[in-house]
Amino acid sequence: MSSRVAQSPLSLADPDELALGLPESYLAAGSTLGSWLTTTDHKRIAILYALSVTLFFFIGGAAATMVRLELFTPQADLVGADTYNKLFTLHGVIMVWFFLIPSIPTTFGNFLLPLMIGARDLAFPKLNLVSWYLNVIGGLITATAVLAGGIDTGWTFYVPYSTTFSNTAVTVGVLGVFVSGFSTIATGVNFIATTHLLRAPGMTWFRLPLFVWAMYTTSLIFVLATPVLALTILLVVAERSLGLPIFDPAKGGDPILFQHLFWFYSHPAVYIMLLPGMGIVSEVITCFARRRIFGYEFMVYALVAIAVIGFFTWGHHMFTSGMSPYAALIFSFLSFVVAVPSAIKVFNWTATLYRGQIGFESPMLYVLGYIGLFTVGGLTGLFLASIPIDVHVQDTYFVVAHFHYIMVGATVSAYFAGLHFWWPKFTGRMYPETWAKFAAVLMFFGFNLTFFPQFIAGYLGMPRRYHVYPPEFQVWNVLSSSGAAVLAAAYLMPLGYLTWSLFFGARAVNDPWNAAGLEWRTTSPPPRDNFVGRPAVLGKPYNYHPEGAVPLRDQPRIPSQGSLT
Amino acid sequence: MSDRAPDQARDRPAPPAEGQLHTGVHDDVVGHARPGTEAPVLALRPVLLTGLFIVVFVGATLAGLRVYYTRTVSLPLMRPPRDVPEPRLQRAPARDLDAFLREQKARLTGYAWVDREKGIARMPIDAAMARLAAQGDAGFAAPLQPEQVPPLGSRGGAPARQPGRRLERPAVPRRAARQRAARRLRGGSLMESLLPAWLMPVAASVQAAKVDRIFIGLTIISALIVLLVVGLVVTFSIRYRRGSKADRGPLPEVVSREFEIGWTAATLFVFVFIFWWAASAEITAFSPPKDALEVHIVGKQWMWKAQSSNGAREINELHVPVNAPVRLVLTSQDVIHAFYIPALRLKRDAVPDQTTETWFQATKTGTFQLMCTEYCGTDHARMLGRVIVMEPQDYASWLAAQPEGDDLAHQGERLFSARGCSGCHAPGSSVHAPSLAGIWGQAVQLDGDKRATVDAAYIRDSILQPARDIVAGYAPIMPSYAGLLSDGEIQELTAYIRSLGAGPRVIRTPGVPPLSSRVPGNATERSPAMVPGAPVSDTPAPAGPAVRP
Amino acid sequence: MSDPAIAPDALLREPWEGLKLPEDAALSAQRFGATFGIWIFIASEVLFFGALFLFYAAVRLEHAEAFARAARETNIVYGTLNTAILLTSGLTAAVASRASEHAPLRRLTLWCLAATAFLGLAFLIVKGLEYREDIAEHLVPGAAFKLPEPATQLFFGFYWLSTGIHGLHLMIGIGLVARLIWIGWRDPARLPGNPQVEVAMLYWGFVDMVWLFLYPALYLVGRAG
Repeated sequence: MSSRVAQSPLSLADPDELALGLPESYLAAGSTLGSWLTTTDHKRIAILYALSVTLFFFIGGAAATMVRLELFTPQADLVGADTYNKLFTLHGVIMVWFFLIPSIPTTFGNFLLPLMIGARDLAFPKLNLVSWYLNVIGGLITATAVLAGGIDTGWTFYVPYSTTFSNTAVTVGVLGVFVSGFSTIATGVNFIATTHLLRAPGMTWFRLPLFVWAMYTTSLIFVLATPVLALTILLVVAERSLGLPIFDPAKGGDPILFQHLFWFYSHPAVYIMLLPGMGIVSEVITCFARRRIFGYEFMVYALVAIAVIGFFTWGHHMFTSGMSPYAALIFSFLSFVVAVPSAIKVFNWTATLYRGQIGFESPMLYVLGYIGLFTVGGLTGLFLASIPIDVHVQDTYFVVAHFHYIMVGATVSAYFAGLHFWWPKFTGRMYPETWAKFAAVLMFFGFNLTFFPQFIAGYLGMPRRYHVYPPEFQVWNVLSSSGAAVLAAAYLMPLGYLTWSLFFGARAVNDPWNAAGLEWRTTSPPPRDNFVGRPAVLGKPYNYHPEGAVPLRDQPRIPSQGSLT
Repeated sequence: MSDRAPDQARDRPAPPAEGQLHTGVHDDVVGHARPGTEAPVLALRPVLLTGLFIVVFVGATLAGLRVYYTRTVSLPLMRPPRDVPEPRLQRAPARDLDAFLREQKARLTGYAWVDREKGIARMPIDAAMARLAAQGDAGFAAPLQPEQVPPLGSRGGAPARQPGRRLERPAVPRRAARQRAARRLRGGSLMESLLPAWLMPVAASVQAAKVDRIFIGLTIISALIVLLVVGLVVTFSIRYRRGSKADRGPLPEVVSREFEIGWTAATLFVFVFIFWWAASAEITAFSPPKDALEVHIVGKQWMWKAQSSNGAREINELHVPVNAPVRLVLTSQDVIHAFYIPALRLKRDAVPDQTTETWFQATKTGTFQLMCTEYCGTDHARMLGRVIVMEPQDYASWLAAQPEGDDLAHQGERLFSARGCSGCHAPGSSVHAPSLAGIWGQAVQLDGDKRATVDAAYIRDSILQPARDIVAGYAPIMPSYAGLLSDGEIQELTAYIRSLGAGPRVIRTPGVPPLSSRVPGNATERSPAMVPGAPVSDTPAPAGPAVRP
Repeated sequence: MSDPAIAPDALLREPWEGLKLPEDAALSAQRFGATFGIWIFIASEVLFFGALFLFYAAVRLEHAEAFARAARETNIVYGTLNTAILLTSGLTAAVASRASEHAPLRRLTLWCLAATAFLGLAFLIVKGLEYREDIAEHLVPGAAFKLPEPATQLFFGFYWLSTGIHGLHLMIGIGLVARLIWIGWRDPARLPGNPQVEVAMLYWGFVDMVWLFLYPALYLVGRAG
């Protein structure tokens, strides 16, 4: 911890190091546990979120490891049927609601959104803290359900299995998700209000960084989709715990109606997981290509189009449930249409590289991996949007591979890209670059080894959620499980070297990447009030000039002001 | 240049300079490099060490699991390995069938050791029968070895043609269907020749060939797009890497706009084309032909029950004729299941108290895996079955052999032939053994002036202790099956014998099976299994206790 | 006590006080932010109740007869009385919201807030009486249900769930109003001009609106003609 010499926000962080008029960093504002748990500083709340999200990521990852180990052989030899069912449910519930959905918005979004638009904090700082508590309480409630015997319904909670037939702690588990839903709604309200009301002078809508646009569109989905999930969960709880007939087929209820309600939330939720990653990629690729993002306006329209059209494609999860063929056609068509803006984004990122001055620091490696994995994941989405193919591969490993390419291959890559890119800003320390590059490459290969075989196994007909399977699928599962071991090692590496860098990493300068965003125009780490004075914006974002860049490796290392330790 | 001192002035707030975009904070002219990062030092050792660690880790995991897998360690959670029927007659049906028949023939007509140590051998069936008839029980020096005949279904359409007996063909428009299927199949076999067999699943239906065509087409389009994107990314990354000599002039604004509109339109066009392709394939084949064989499927935790419109009832199996359209009407008794046959590219959810429909037309004979793909609880992964696609003649004879009984009796009938009972007790057998048709509930005259009523206990006794009660007029030649049949199997045999009825059994002659669905009433009226709330019997009506009182 | 002026420094909160604006302007920015936020939250709530009404619509389309039959079992007297109570509370809430913007009307604001909370409680009491009657008449889905058709139980499943959720929203509203009364009672400077009054009253108005959709769906179905 830097010594707390200063009381006033304008006093010095470390007078011995730099005799400049710099305020102390947000990390120096208090080091007690109480000062963290009662903070309303968006940056500190982002750190709190980062801790809880990391915890949940490794819980979900442990469950996934068990699942992959069990699938090594066609028999049930590690865990039995019920345990396996609880493991994949735990993996799904934790990863979807307590890692993927909050991951980028609540950590990077919380930290960077006010910085990027030149604001002092979010519009409702107390609400922001409340939302973290709701998220953690929700997570703990769900974890309680796991301790109380687990949930075996799968993360989709399909009725009537979840309402009538499952003997596990479904009610407690879904109530945890319900509580965390309020957390995401609160975050969404906060982000929308902040983006509308607290932009710095000159920060017009079309000067917003694409990451802010991504946060804004994600927040729209937060606010408009999550309540539908909340209600759906209440309906399940009412039927399961209060005994009210809601979906009960014997009383004339309709289990398919549950699926409509559930996917009306859960398909837009896919875009909740996707759009923030796109925002990060747009920030990183333009910085390391040293070139202004190609087609900024089109990138914005693409984000908005994905968010809007994404609300109307939920039916493609239900092609085999016997829906009307006309409804199926419309959903199929819209699913193809929603792929167009995604394709535009991929092409624009690629074009951004053209005539750039491309550097291959670790955030850029993650982003290049992202583009490849997202392209594969997106294109296999077209297979699933085609009704005849979907009928064959629905609920097989093809689907599993597809959404892992999107959510793990793409979004988690983007998460790590952002983590490395903004790590100096968050902590004031540099991470070991060689390790980071190695982890990025390892993650890419481990990921492909894990999930590409699943496409083949899926097309050959291996259903998902099987703990025992016909032996002809074993070769693909062995490949996949071996890849999972590599992937697990690759995910553990950042945990190690980033923690190391907190204490031993070199001090970071304010702008180590020579980047253009407003968040780099303040100290690393930023002061409590983010900026000295109120910044004004005079031009479009991403003002990079490929001709003017000096290779970073020629630059000397200097100590800088402020750090976590 | 490398030892440039930190430029302290840059951190001082300054008025906006030429080209500067942000004010109010210590800033320099954006876009120009500033000293800052540590120079990346490429240390080889951590990389090598980590690589070694990964290799050792993966190797140890693999080796550990291999040991674990090969050693039969028993843990409380372990279940016995599942008996997955080996897929036969799938890749090259004609060749497989020949081999299979040869093998069966050899087993039936040749001598072979069963257990050399104990001196148990197998002899040709004819010789055995002759010996049995001549010497009775004493003809066997060693205990009877039940013949390991694969269950009825797994013969996968092996034509059980009997010479001199002409089978009538089922009344399906076979010629037209065959021609249609043959046309489709050409596409399918083209795909099979393009791709190695282990990369493409068996395609055994009209739908499968169609799905595979779209799948291959989409894969090619996707591969091209991936190649384009990855190729561009790699090319740009190399050509415009930092410090390269490539030209880096600005892009004209107009070009970028035209590019944007161009590739938006292009992707939209390609995607809508794919949509049109897939959707038209779906639409044209949505409704089943009118003459389709109708099969009602009921899903239940964790089994499949099937009932054809022609009366056949099955559990976890579905026999269908090849090249004939089959319409499936599905429902569930508890939770949502999904009926999935990968080889037919067919999947449809079975929803409680609702009916869903789909149809298929198989183009290959064989036994295909049937699975549940909608998660349905503990034994979801064991909710498996088989679909047996048969030549129409075989289907007809299979159908004819179906008793008008309940499902347990089906299993019993299978056992009846598999365990060799039919060798002696079937009507027309050359061995002198009492016929079992029509004896249920009747009184029989036994040796020693006794009488007995045929019930479950009597049948059980007769199977396990055949020498105790001998039907008058027969020789005590039957070996005991004690230890060779489980209680469940005896129950099934009992159910089968019961299903043979109390009167003389009417044996349906193989002939025209009622393949049409011209049954009066709508879908729910046709099959009692489909009426919501009606009990579907998967156990026989009271057959009496199988255990001795 | 009379005529306390609006005191921005007592009402301003972070981050609005740090906008480098004059206090009045900062307070009006904060007020705008607060109402903007609650409108977004109401949009979210609309989707919440929208899903509930979607469920109602889908099931009612399938079982129109049973729904008409079941809806005739609800007590229209209680329902209509509750509608009247809630509409009146909407009036007092709106008056409270407008009065709070003027410092001299602090007393009126307090009275209107109290009336709003009282009417809300009255609604809950009437609802409780209706619940008691429903339970006595075996209108709780289950084995002893009054009506023979199974689909009528679906209607009452919706009835109990929707009125329960609405009642819960109303209780939260009463809590918010009670908190405002407490603030205005204890610390007169913090009520006039407080953005929280408008926020709470917007929420109250939304809960009223939900009832206006629930009332015909629960009480008027099957009673026409």
